[in-house]
Amino acid sequence: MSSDAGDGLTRRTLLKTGAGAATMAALGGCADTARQLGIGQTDRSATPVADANVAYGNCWMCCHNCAQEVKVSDDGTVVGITGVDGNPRGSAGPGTEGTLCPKGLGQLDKTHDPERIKQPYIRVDGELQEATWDEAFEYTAERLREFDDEHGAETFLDAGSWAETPIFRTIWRDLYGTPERIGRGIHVCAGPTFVNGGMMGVGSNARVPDYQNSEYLIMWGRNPLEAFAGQFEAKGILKAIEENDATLVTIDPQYTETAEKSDAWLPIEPRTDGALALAMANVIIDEERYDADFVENHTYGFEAYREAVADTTPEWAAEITGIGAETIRAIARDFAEAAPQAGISVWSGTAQSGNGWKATQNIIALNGLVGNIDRPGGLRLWKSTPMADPFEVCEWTPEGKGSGAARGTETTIGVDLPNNAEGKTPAFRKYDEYSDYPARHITGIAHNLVPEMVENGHINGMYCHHDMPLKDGNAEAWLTALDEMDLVIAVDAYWNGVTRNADVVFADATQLEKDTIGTGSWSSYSEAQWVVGGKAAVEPQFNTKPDYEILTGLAEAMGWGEYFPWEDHEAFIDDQLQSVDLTLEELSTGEKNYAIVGEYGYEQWRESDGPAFRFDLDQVPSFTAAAQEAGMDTAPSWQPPGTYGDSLDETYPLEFYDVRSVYFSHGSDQGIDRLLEQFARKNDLHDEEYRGNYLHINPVDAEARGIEMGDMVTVESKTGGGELMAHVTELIKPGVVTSEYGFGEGSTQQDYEGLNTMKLHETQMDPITGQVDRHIAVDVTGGE
Amino acid sequence: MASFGLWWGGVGHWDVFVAIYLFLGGISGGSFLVASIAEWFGERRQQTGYAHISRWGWTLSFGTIVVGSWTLLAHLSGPFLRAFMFPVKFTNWTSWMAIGTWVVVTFSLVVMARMIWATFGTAAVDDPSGLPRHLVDRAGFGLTDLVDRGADLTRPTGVLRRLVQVAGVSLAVMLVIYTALLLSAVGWLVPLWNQTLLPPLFVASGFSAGIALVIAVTAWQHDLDGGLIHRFGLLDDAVIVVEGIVLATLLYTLTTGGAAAARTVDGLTSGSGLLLLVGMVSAGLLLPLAISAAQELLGSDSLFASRQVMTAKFGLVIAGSFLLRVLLIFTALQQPIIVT
Amino acid sequence: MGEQWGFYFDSDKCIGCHACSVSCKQRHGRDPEQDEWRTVKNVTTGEFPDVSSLPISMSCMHCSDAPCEKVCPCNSIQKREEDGIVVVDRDSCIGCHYCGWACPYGAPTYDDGGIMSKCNLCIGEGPGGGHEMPPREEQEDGGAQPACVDNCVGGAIQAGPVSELKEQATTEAVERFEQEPANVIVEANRDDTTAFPYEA
Repeated sequence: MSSDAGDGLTRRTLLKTGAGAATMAALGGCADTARQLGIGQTDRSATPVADANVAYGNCWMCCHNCAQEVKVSDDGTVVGITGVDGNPRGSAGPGTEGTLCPKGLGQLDKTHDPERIKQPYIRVDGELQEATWDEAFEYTAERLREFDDEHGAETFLDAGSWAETPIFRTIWRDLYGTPERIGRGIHVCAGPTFVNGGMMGVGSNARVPDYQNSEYLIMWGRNPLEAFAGQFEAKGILKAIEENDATLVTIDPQYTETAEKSDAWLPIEPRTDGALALAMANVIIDEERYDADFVENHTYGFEAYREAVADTTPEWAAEITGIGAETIRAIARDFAEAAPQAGISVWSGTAQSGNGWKATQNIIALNGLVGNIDRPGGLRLWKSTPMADPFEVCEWTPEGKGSGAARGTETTIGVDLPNNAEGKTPAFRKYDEYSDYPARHITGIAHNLVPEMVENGHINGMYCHHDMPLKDGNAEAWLTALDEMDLVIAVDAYWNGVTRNADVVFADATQLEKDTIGTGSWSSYSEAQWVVGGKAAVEPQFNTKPDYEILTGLAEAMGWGEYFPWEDHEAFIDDQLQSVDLTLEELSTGEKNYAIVGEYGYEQWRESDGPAFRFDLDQVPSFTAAAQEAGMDTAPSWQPPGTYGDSLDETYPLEFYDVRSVYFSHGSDQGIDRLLEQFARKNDLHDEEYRGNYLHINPVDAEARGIEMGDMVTVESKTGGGELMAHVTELIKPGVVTSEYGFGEGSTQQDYEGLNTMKLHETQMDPITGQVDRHIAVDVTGGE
Repeated sequence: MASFGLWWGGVGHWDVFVAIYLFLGGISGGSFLVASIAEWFGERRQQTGYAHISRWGWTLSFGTIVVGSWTLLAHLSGPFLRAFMFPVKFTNWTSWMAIGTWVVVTFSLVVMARMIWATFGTAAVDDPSGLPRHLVDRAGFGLTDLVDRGADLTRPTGVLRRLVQVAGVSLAVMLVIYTALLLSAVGWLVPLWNQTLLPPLFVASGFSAGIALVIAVTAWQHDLDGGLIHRFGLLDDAVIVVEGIVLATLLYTLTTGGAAAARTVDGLTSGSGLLLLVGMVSAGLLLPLAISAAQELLGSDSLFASRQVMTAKFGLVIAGSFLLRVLLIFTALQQPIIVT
Repeated sequence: MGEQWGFYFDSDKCIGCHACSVSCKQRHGRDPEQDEWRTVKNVTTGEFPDVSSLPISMSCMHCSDAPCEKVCPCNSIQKREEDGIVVVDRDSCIGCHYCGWACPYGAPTYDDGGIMSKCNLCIGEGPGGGHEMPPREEQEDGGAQPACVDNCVGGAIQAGPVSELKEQATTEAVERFEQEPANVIVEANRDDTTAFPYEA
């Protein structure tokens, strides 16, 4: 799709108009003629990027903070963007090249994208109207008060997601007083992985092994060479291969870039990962290849585990998974042999299915079995950088803020925040309507159940901040719910199904337009803690505001200004950085904008008492309650596909699930032309006008339906369907069809081209965490 | 498993204007050759028909190369005026495009001169073959007088005339050959543009189309002697046979070539490629030969000897010549990059 | 003759992400839908499950015996003496597309005003950049790092004087390089067997 080319997207106006004029056949003017004849000089010496000013940022396209070096021209245009050498998320470690992936590069386009939301909007008489910031704040405050009066603040759902300041939690929980919160990790990302991991003793670290020190890496339902959470994952894997001669194994029904670099690719039958893991354990235990010392002295529940895998032989698993028994054996042996320098990576691929809990538990158990827990090359217990809580450490003078208030002289430390959500129970746990859901023992809400809660009047409004819930589950029901909600407040940079249906739209400034810091745990520094940051490289574009200012402005309008004594976001950030003795200015000045702020060793579990690892979760009360209701063992066990969720049948014989690509992350980048273009090229379909997502389908399934590459096809489940373009490829298992999420109706892609994959979805979920089960029985039609 | 894949590059860098240009270049050169042959025989035999053929030959040759030059410019994607800088800019003598452009320019001048010398001044005639002079007359401005005098002043005689004849013929042949060499210079990358076979193919095709065009037009404008038509017709047939052999050889070499050659053959034997090939072979080769054969067998009184059939035959030859260029431009493929 | 510059490409490290294509276009101010000066393609072979999909990144190879230079009628294309980089003078190019046919790598593009533009190893910025610029300098001497090298996530692309690139390449790659007219050293170190030692 051809956007309004040149309208703020390119800054080469000089060369562009030169070439443009030269192609005109008109002979008006000497300059034109000279250029036509080639006598006028094309300016070849201009080097806008090389001559521009340097600024820094931390990339927020996938929100995992690779460091960015930005080139800004004197007129405030971002003209160049690249990585920062040695940075923790975007390089392979100290002394290595820092880069940006296509998404990070897309930040350049995003900053000046004319299709962004350019100013606030409020809904008046059913229509969204432009408003000033003051109007928007006042309107919102009024609506929030009305909402509290009519429905109760506790029915307001905080669905803030990728905000670049944590204060939205303060506002909605502590100040407004709602206990309703839907976050990313457990609810829509990889609930089973995180919660399992936490209960088993490894937190959410089963996602990212200690790549660079590893000799054996299993990418289980993961494709980190494309769908990485920070480029360090891809770089780390490649480094392990090159320097450690590491063996790479990919377990995936699709042949991905990760599979291409792998020594073995196991095209497993979808949702049978749990069986494969049990079979590997069977081999490792049977042949006594496990770390006996670790198992006996630092784990709990081994006997239950041993019993559970007594009969789950490779032969048994071969029939279920479609992977040869000898292969299973070989991989189990080699994994155990390489351990503890052997790691497994699991994330959404194994978690986003109905039987995802047991699948992840079975897989994570293998780590404890071979004793790689927090050892080099194994399952690293990454330590994040502790940030100070500004509300606790800020030094300020009360009554020195606000309009017309008397200025006091006494400084104090900390802000006395109320805790207005205290004692309030989320609806999920409060009401009988949800007593059938085991997940209420584990978490406070489930994504799929929000529409039901809206119908029941348990949720009546929502705050959505840099998020796209319409791609996360039961899209059709969510669309209706958005309509039914009394108050929807959105903070975002792009128009999509949420912002278009909101009552208030606060126009968010994007990454390079704000002061920001970023931190996390995993990175290319296996033993270090880090922080990355940057001052705003350019002014907030159009009439947008950084989210810190949006939220404090709203707080002010609600009469909560006294709780935010910081002058600006930088002051807030400086308080956060107190824990590492830095200021934002110090962090972002110089040759780089990141700092290594601490070190920690391996085997941190030695520092605490009790088992470092649990195979059996029968000592975790919340889980045992949930498991019992769900009909599940507490130890690793096999649950076939369809135990929860869809089974394939004659009407819907194909297994659909959605996937990720390197060009898009979550739901916010699907509107950027440059990324859509590359995505189309990756699928070899850029010659078509279409710029939506693609249905990846094997020729066997395609031919049976008369479908050819580039045909528009319809995918349908018993819940719903949609149209998208077919990408016929040998790189996917027959019987399986996939498509990238974040497209279609309600998406950020301006034309809503493609399929909203969650239109196929109803309420299938993992019963323990409520995680959305994205494996759906479908059929595909539409070829000639 | 050791396997290799192929990265196929882009195709279709040239459009229909290039095909038209190559066709017109060929037919222009061919027409010039016909005019020269007629001039030669006209000196030795007393038949007014030869003079008519010569004059029409020069005129049609000139007309087609002028139109051809414009279509050549039409395919350029750069700024419109820039191509006219070529006298200054075309300096790369390793490029057939540069060499060829100069051939076109020189040839155009020579054919214009020959045309003027044959139709103006003392050579002026009243019949249709004096068309250039009639057109200049219609334009007015006393140009006719000017050109008449110029023609008479500059018309070469004796040795000079021989030189001009030889130079003209050489240029005409070079014109057609260069249109082939333009393509075959990248024949190492485009198997269809075979370096050995393309030049003779183009010369044969251009010559045959030239014969067809000139004889058909002359026959329609004058009461041309049947025997004369017949002799040129036979010449045309002979050239067509040669053309057919060269084309067959070209197609054969493709079937034994590498990946790109094989894929070119695929392109020629399916879809629009096949239509083009069948069309070109039928129109340019098979049908004309069939008609000639019928004419031979059934004699000069039959239907096949009629003017309409003759025109149809020559029309097919011309169409075939055009289709050949279209085929060569649109089914051409570059070698893939082999990725192991 | 100065030191010939070229590219080094390690297919073991290319992850087919297209960051090089994007970075190149951004450095030279070209719109998303324009043709690419550096293209990435997955060369896919085989039938499920015996499949392979090797990503390759390609741009102008700045060939030692550049066919584009030979066929350009206006001498718009020149292989520079100073650094061997093949540049195009966009003031004399008429857009005849002959270089398009002559290039085995598909490097020339024509959608910057109908005149040819292509990779210029970032000795300048923009479609006109390159022609008549001073000799290419390495990064430590102040030269700009080529955009594709700058952001290759896998670290698969390097650029520089060929002698330096040879030092970091394997013997096989250097041997292969010396037989080709293209100035790119390609590593293809992958073992031939995919499923070793694991049989599916």
